[in-house]
Amino acid sequence: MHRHALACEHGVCGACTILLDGRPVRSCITLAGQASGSAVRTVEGFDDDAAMTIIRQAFHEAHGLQCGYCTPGMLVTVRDILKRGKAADQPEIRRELSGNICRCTGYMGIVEAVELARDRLKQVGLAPD
Amino acid sequence: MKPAPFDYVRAESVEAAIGLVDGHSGFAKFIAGGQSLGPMLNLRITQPDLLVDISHVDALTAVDAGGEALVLGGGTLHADVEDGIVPDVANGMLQYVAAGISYRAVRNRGTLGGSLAHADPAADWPVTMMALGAEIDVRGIGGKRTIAAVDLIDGPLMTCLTDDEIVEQVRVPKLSKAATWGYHKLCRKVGEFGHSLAAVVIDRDRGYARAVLGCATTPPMVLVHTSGVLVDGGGGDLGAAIEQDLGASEFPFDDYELQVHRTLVQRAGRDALA
Repeated sequence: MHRHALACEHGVCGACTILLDGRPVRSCITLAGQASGSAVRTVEGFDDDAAMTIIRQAFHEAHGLQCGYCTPGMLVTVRDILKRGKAADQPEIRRELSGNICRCTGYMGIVEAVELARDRLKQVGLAPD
Repeated sequence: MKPAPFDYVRAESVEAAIGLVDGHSGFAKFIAGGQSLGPMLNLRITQPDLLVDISHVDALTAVDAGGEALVLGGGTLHADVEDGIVPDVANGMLQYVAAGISYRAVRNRGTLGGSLAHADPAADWPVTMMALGAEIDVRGIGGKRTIAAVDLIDGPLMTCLTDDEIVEQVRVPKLSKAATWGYHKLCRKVGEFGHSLAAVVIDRDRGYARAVLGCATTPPMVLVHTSGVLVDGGGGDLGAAIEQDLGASEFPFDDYELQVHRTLVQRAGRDALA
């Protein structure tokens, strides 16, 4: 694992968010021993995931990253938000993303990327209407 | 940043977990979701030499809505309450409160029992369970006992639980159809611990009303006079009752805190009376 970001290390910033049995969790406060027997998926494990391909393209087009440090956690979180249909408008996107900090403060681009990804995922039936 | 060295054991049952902690001569802690303990370990605020993992004990995630009260296993995840997987017997209050706890990634791991046992006075579940009049069934080496939610917390991060006791289940009384509630939390940032939390439940069919205040500096408080006015339909002087309750705090509030707490209790009361 190379791209799974080690950042605040006490559950505040969201950069290390991964999927544990399909649900986003903060890896810095999840013991490896506790995860034994569970499916762990980091940002590197989505190359065959159609939704993630669309989300990455949206982040690219809408300038959803600057330094890129928060991006692994942002992508994993955003995919979950969109799959659960929790991105109706900008206030909801900002509320759902509040556990992921971007210290470059690139939130305008990130929120725009989420909206773009949401619309495209809906078109292909990968996110609820 | 990493924790001081510790041993880790996964327990397969509540009894086994209690036995492991009781039989340990050093400092042992139970760990469930670890969403409060994890940061404290990483910051070395606490340094147990044994962690007994209870997050894989199936019996702790059992839910039973068949009786007079909803019985929630101590290992119930906040996200499962948020998503309505657990029946909401409090007219939407449980789901509303769960959705406002920290962030989704934390709600996917954090547990009801863990939140109660950790006893952060500004956390959502202690205040909510006190307002709902819930009871907590715990088990330790000495057997089982039941603690009223209002009696659980002695002070910030301090409970009446002994080191070998686990929150097995929480019994939440079912509200009447006409029962109402109000819940207000002041956070400067979404998902952080509240600077002030006010929960109000009014269930006139049962002659029940309770207002509870949570904040960082004192154990959560049942607001006795406020509850008295609310049970009578709010016809009395709610403002004066709130003033009287806040003035009786063992840990006096400064002017700013008073203003914030007063406002939030009023808002929660108003929502529940509407």
